[in-house]
Amino acid sequence: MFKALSVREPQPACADVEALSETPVETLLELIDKAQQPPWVGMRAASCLIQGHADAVQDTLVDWVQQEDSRGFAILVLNQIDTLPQPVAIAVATQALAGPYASDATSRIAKSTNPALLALVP
Amino acid sequence: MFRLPFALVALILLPGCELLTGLLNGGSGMLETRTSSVQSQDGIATIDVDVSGESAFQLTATSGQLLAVEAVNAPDGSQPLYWDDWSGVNSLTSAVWLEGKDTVLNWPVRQADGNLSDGTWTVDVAVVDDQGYYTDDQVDVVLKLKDDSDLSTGTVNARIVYADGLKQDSVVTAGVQDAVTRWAEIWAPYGINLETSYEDSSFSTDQPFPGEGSEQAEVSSGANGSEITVLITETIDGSTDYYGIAGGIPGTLDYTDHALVIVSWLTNAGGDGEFSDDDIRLFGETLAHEVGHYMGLFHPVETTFDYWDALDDTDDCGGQSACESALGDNLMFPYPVCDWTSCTPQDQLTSQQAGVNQRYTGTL
Ligand SMILES: [Zn+2]
Repeated sequence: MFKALSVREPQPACADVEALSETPVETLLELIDKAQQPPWVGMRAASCLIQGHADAVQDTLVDWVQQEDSRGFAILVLNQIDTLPQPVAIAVATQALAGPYASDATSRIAKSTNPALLALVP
Repeated sequence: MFRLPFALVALILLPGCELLTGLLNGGSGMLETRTSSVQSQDGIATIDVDVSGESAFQLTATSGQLLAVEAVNAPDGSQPLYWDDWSGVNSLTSAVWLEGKDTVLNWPVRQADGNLSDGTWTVDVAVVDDQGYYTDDQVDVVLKLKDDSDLSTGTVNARIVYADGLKQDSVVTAGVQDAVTRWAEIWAPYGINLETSYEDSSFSTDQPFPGEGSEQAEVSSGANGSEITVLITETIDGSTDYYGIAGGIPGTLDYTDHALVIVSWLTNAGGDGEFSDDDIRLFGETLAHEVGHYMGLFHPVETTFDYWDALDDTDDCGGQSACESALGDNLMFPYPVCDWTSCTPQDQLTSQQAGVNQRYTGTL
């Protein structure tokens, strides 16, 4: 899976990548945790989690917007906040607006088309 | 008559048909621009290129129909390029592919294609309808000819444009500037001098692929006619899956919606959103890689390991292991060879690869 996520272009499809593992969520989380280079491996793995497994990894998504040293993942999930299931989106937005990336969060959530998210923006 | 092959990506045209001639000094060489309109006959638009001392030309053709270069004919009657000779497993130029309503040819591509002799060259451009049949239409042409007697050294002017708000983010600007320094270091041993300028803009931080965005012709319109535009965005096509993408192989020096390279700062920075030293090195390599595509270079081998470039000094390897061994340090290898914590430096060009970049009309 690491090799499949390493190519410069074209980008790999999540379904093709996830088919390489019997436990794709666990493998994607391991890649995010351990694969330091190239940087787009972790970002692509995170993107696959957001797109296909947001419910299962809600705690991880919330961690990204709360902890230090994860601004890239935070921006990634905030850019896709309208694609998340509503409870996940509310949890991520609420914590993001109170976290270290509140400025990044405010400008991105303000572009949401979801009234429940817009209501959270101060 | 039917004409193949079609390539995968549909492109969008931006026509232009005024008649003008201009000279532009971009480095040690001079660039001349000529524009014209040609009516095709029996599905072929024949475009004359009068050469008198110039060393390379770039033709950008646009039309309401699909376009692809059919042939290049030299003044002595020889035909150094015929499209069907390049429809197999080796790629010379995407100009021969029916991708959309424009086509870009840089000639010569390689040292093996010979020098640009004086006289009238003709480029036959096929005009094809969306069913694949030859048809007729007006073809608008922008020709750029470079007068540069030394094809072993040259200067490339890159115009770095920040999408909306990114020039105000010090993490982004510091990362880009450090990566550009690395890019210049990669090119220097091959006689390519990189000159850069930086601009702020209000263009969207999410850009679709080159040719598919409503803003992209406007992005390129700020270039001076000899520059390559590199647009720094946050995301490409709505995601961070793409690290960077070039508008063509080769890309045009004219002003079209394909006339740019797009690079995502966020994909490059990774999950921490910061640029480590390793991130910077890879970012510099990818800038040089994507602009290398724009200047005419294909991957020496594609990731399926069954398509190769048209150069004799890049290994026609087969299989992942053999190709990583033979070409893993090559700048144009399709992916970095990494072990989770570090990647092999990819900064090597073969002599013929450097020759392609030196023959690019924008290398002055
Ligand atoms: Zn590439």
